[in-house]
Amino acid sequence: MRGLLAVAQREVVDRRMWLLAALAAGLIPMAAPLLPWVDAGSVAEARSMLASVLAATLTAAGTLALGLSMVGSDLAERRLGFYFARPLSAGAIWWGKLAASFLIVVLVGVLAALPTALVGGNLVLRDLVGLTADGAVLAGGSVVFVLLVLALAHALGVMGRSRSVWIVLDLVAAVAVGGAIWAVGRRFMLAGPMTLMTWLLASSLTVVLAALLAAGWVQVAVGRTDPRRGHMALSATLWGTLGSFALAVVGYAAWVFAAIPSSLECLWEVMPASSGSWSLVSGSSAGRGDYYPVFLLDAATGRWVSLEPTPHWWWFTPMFSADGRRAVWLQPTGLDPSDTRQVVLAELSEPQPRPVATSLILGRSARNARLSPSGQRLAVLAEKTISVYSLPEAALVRASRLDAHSSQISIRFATDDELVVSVWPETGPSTATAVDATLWRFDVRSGKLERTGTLDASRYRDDWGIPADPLGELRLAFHPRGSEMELAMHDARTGALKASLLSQPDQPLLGATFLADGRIVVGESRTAAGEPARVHLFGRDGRLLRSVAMPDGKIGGFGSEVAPDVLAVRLGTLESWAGRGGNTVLVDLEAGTVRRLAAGHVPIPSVSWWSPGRTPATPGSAASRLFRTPEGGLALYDPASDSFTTILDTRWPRT
Amino acid sequence: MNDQTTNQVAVAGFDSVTVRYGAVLAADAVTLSVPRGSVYTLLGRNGAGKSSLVRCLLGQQKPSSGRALLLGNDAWKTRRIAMERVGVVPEEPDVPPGMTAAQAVAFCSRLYRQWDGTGVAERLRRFAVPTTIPVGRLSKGQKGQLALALALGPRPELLVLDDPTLGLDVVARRELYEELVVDLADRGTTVLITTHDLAGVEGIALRVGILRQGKLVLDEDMETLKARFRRITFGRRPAAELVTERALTAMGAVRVAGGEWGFEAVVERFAEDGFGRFASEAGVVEPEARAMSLEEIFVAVCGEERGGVA
Repeated sequence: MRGLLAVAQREVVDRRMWLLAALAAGLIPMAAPLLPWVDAGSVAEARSMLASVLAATLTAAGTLALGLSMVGSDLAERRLGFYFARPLSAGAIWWGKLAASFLIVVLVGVLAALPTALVGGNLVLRDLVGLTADGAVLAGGSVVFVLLVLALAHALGVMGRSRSVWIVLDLVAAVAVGGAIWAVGRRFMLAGPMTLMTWLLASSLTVVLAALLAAGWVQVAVGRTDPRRGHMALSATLWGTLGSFALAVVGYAAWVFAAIPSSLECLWEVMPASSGSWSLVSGSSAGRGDYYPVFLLDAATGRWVSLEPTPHWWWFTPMFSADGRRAVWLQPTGLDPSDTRQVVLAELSEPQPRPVATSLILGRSARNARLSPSGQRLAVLAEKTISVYSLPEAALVRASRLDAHSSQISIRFATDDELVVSVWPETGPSTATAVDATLWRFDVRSGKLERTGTLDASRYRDDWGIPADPLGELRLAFHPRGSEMELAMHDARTGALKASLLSQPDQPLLGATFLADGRIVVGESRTAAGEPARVHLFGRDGRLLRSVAMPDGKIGGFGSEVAPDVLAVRLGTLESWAGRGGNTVLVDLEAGTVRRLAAGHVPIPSVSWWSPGRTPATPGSAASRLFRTPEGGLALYDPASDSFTTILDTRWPRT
Repeated sequence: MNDQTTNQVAVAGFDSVTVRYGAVLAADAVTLSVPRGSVYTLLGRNGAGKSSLVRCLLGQQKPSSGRALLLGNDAWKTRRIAMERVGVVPEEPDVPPGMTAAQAVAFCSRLYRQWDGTGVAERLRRFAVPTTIPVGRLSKGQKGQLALALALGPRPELLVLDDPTLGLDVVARRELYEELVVDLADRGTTVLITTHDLAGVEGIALRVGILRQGKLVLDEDMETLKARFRRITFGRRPAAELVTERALTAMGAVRVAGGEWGFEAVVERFAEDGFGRFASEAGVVEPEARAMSLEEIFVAVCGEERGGVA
């Protein structure tokens, strides 16, 4: 320590001209009133700006110059022997010089800003601190940055001065390491795990800084007075460390991206196709942070397809054809979520399905995409233009611009040749207001886009939480009626009211779903009268066909028909729908009977707000029989044996 | 070389030290030791490997193979500790040019457990080294004296001088050597000196080593070295050619030159009785044996035919 302090002190004395220059530069802003373009009212501001610029410039220049020369110039001028001829360790020489250079850089910044600060100048730096609201972070970042630049400049200085062929190796290694880190970082950025990216960035910075500092030390300790040997030692340490780190990062990234369904430890999302046995599953995986692998999983065979997760994957979530034999999704082509996106599909009927990128590249604003029932066409809403593409031909079929004032537009295929378009006011809908929506019809064959009607005073967007009519003719909508909430049935094209199904106090909310044959099931959870919750079955004409009382509790939501006319209903509340555990009953809509399932098994919702336009699952299909297990895993229910077969052995998310 | 043994008898040494710079061989398996209390002069032409060996000895450079031994230990591994007891005067003054002599002294004094501040100040005063102006503005001689003062400050057991008189004028050289003699007399400091100033060191060197193209070709006490080298001049009758050649060969003739003026031979195994027999040979006329200076011996060993002394 004695030697280190002696070296540091000597360096500070030797480079004191930097401090004097900084002090002199700090006085320059005092002359701000003399500048012709500065009026009397903006003197303080001009002085502050000038001081900030001078302080930043001098600090940057000092960091670079001191980094380049703190050891390099002694080495080049053969003066390092002066230190090595004394009882000084290499560490004392290196760390002493580094500490002195760091101190000088800090003092240069402070001294350049000091005069202005003393006269009450509002330095931009102070504003920055205020903006970040965390001075400690800014100070820590500045320390890291200065040390990084000092050590980097030192390394570059040694490399340049040694004039050895090792500089070629340096360039190759820099490109290799930088390229590897960038490639991994880019893939992480595309996949969107912010925490992992933050860790990658922080650990990269830390390792680079540590490697540079260690390399400088080793260069002094091993190279001593020999520039070339020092260069070799520096390069070996630097690239050895960074290369190992890059390898570790690449290896870790490869492991992260090599997740398979069984890697999932916690399922966040399960979205089955309406038919068949394929589902979208996504969740977290041990050791992979907030990277959430996404798979298409065949519940019947265990086959799976790995998808590239994206930061905004709910915009691009896969869509299944009605028969569940094709999945289509949009894959961003760049780092920016507003970049173009490519249409990717997987033929799930193939023995080994795999993602196939089509030649369809959609524009920056294409987010709202819908797959036709046959899976042959893709409708995309970009700005206010609706475009329909043919997937087999990867070509545009029709496009038309919607003459609407609002950009709150939703689209859904009624058939492969017909799109129903709903336009909501720009300000709504929200849960607090009821608004009118205009309805449009887009004929894909003719390209004609015409207004067909109005859906009056609807509280929620029609694709919010209610599956689409599998026959494409009806739509359900909630309407606030005083203190009551009414669920009504409308014509899907014109919006004309066809029947009012049920009305009840706003809380708790009503739940509703279509069955696969087009009938409607509504859950009613009355609490005021103390009556049990009921499941009502309505015909397509709005007539009540049957009401079935639930054994206890409230209706939390609907699953699918695990067999024809046997509907899975989760007890609880809508608010607890996303929660863990709970009881599920199977309601026989034909017989009006209720049977409890083993406790803790939860049906997979047939719709979710980020999967609009989906139709109910085919009764008895694997998609209709998917349940979360009490532990949070995924299981397939067999109505015949009243048993579950575990598909994924995962856990509920920790709350 | 055994460390324990070396520690007892040698303050510095080299154990099969080889130094390579790529394909260039600077030192080739050099083994020598500097006995405690001696003044060892390592000679060699430019590029013979002297400075490389000195850097190895000071722990500033790692030998390609072998070990440099400093105070009985591997110099590369124990440099920092050893430097407490070693003073160094480098070939080129390396005190940072922005420092004043006073700052250099203050800096160095903080690094050693013992520091002869009075002696250093006296030495600087005696040689009129300004202490308040930057070292970069001092003369070469003043820089050399400052380096010597700094080297002697910690009262070193070993003083290593790497061509300390390079670029000094005659007066400065003499002052430096006088200073060394005084210091040696006072303290019994071991000195390793590499130099081209053969005349300067001749009076103080106790042992001499000569490097030629990286190899140590001579390592001997000065006294015996000077005793066995002689320059012999003689005349010769025509018939005595064979006789004189045989006699000179027996004395280790390094070089024989002749002309109308007579003959001159340098022998490296001179002995009085041998010379007496040579002088009494029939045909040898007016033989005379003359002692040689260190410089003459160096030239004889390294040979003008090999390029002469730089």
